[in-house]
Amino acid sequence: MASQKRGLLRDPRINPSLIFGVVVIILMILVGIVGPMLLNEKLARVGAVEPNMPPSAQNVFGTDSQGRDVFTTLIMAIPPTLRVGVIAGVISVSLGLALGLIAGFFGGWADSLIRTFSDVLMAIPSLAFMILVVARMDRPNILVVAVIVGFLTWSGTARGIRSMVLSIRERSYTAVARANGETEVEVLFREVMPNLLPLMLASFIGAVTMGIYTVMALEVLGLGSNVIPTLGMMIFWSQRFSAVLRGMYWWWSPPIVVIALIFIGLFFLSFGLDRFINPAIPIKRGRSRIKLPTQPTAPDTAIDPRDAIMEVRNLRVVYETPAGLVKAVDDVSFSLRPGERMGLIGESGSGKTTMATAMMRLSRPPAYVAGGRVLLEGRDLFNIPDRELNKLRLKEIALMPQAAMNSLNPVVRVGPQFKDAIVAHLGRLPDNQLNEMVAQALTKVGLKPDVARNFPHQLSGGMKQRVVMAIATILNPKVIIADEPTSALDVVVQQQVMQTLGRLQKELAAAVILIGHDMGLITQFADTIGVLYAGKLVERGDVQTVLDNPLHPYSRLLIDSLPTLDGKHDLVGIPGLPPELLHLPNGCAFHPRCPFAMERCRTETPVLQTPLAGRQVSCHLYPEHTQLPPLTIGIDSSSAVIEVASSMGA
Amino acid sequence: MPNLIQVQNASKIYGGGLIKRSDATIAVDKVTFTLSDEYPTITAIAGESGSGKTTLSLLMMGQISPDAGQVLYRGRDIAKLNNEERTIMRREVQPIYQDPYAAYNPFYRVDHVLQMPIKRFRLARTKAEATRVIENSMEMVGLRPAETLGRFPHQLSGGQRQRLMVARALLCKPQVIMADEPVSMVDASLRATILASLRKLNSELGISIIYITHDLTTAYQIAENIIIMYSGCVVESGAVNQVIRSPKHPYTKLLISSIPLPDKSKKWGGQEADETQNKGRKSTGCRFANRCPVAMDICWKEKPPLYTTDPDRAVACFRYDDSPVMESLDVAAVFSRKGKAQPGATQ
Repeated sequence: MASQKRGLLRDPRINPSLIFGVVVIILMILVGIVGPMLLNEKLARVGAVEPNMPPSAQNVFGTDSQGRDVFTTLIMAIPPTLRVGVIAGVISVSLGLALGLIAGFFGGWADSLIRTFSDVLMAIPSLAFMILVVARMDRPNILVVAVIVGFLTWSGTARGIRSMVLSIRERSYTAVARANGETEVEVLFREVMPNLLPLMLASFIGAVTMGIYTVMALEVLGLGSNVIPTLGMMIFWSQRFSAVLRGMYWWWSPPIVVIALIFIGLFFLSFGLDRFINPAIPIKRGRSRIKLPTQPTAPDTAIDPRDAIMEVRNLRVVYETPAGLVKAVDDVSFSLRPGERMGLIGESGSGKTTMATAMMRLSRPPAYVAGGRVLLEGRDLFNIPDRELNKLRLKEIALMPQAAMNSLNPVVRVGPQFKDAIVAHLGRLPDNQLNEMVAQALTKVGLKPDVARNFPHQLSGGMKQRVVMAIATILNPKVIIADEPTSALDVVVQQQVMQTLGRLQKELAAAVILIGHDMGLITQFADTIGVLYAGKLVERGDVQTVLDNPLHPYSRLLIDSLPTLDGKHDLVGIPGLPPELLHLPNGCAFHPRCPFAMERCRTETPVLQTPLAGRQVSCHLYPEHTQLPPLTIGIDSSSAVIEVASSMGA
Repeated sequence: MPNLIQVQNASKIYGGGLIKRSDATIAVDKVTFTLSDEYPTITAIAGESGSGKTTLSLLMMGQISPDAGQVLYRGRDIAKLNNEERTIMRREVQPIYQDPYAAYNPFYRVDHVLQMPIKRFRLARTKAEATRVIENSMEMVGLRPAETLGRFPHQLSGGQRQRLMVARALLCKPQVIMADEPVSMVDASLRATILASLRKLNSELGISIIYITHDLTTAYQIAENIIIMYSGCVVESGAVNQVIRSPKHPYTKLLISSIPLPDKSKKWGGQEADETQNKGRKSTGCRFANRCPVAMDICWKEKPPLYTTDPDRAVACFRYDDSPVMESLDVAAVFSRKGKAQPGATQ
């Protein structure tokens, strides 16, 4: 328990707003509890002191027109005001929680009923309703008001809880809990409820604010109780006796200041709580002023730069996170020949998507390009004005972003979605010309021209991906970057889409960079391959050559771990854990998992070198070796231990 | 009863509201499948999204009930089990899910998912025994307890989380593990380790495994028998060596030729399709008719039965109507039974 508490205090999600809110509210509660114990309650009664006196040593905040000491009254007024809020909050949240849980967990008719009821409640203008209710009471009772506020405000909480429960129910941990033998009631209380706590707390604060606000509004209107002093009543009294006109600032201003403090505290509390629940990486505007320590630079690539249509030189992209700087792409260099199909393979976190985005100069904070150049036919994309860059995009270089098929606008037909791209480059065109272009583009990707009249939801995944492809290639770009274009598609459709992309590539004679994690897909599509590990390009070469004779130990182990249809093999994965970008090991990032790791690998970062013609690798085994030394694999299937042949030496 | 789970002519229909009856989707269409406990085996259920493979597994776990037919557990209708029997079944049929992130409640340390089954199923009498049981099952899947326990789920890698899920299932002393795409969200370099541990559970502890997947290469590597599903129906069934290496059903052929293999010399077959072709035509016979390159007239009208084309294989396709129609409806009747018999298969 103790360690958990310490963990919470060190939690990076704790933010200044939250701390400020908590401090103010706790202060108010303390004053409300301790204050009345220390003060003489009688001073808050009518006629207790001489009326209309300005602040003095005896009456710190002066006295009011009815002979009350303002300071004492003020302190005495805090507890009832807070109590009203808490009562409203408790009722609202308990009702909201109970009904939200029922609606979300059981669904069906209970859900419909609760939803209808909450819709009706939401339509009631609560303040007007309360005025009506209180005006009918003989002696207005603020506690009754608080209760009614609670009953009127639960629907927001219930809705929030319901949608949370629905999303938690979708998560497989509730199914796992059932498999673990938990009963439905247990699943509800043990698995679902704890995750609702932050939402409940936020709702509670909202209801408290609403309760205090409503009661105060009623009191200021004169619908409060004359018996108990509250902050609202103090304002009402001061206003009734024209305190402002009479210049009795000591009377009307303290309750306003205190109520403002309470509201400010509650506001910061809920704001801070929201930031606590949904932590977001703070995004700074503008270019980052990150200075990376100078590191060994990779030499230029083997392909003659004069032949290249695109060159990436020493590209570095970093993410600025609260926990530190993450090097997502670290000193990557390669060139692309015109018409080349290059596959870029990497596992999650290897930086492949970050790199694609950076190559289009589309990195958005918290990602920043921290160095390097991207040359498209000799023009440095990082060093041209925005307007010129916009002209290049789509026309010279096009990106099919990851999951692009889900980014088609769902309420716009397919045809008009081409329009922006065309208009930005060719200016306004007559409709028939525009339609003609769209029809051609659709035909090129194997779709019928009338698909232009469909809405995206009427298309299958494969068709949507083709539409994305048609938009990306409508201006015949010379370089196409396709980021996992088929990741959500079934294997048969995947093959068809990739074939279309292949045919399109031939027709346009464009170079394609295919980003993915499926070695089979990349082998079948690409001519050359680049292997990314922890943000670094570790190997580059012709696809089949790399498959037959991988030079980097990571490539080798990755290829060995692929299941095939050639016969049953022992299944061997790469030992160890995938790299954590925030805590990359020194030297070569792969060394903790590498069966060939040497002393040097722990300290010295390898650079990309060319041990064989047309092959590049970033590993300390080269240039001493010309290929990977043999590896005998001793398999303990569970822990996948790999032992290195004793012949290893370098 | 020698049978663990028997799916008997079961169907499951989703949707089909009051307004649009045609919207109803037959997720599982009259499937009969027996999981015997005579010998422990790894069976793959494969197909594309929407083929009904996950629905079939949910039926087998009793998490949903069939709209027609029935599902038996150890010979008793799952719908009619009493509480005690249901608890036993829950423990003995353990799921592993696709997403190793969503499988953990972010509120708890990972220990939570290991301690709950011990408490609920009374798997240990003392705390020390509980610790021992947990550590044993973790070691079985290659996890070091000291590096894993006491952490929050986000502090572990996807591969570790998924292996811990296997350990959790193992802890319950299951008869069957239903693994639904257990490696599709795990990095390629870590997949093999998870699959290897499933294989180990099968061969060393005699636990039967149902491996649900869209990935035929891993299915081939890990499973002994396979069921290929298309649109709720079983189109081909039998020993993986037969089904995957020499597929007979046009759909299985299409699936296998669509796998991109990491070898340039193995051509990626098939041809670019016009996805809009034949979309409109509805088949009242074979579901695959509108995508089938060799569809005949009869395919559009009649639903093909399963033909026993080889000793270890059945195919639902009229192209093989010279072979005998399978006598039993059970798609497992043609399974290869090379797995060694396990006396009682109890632990």
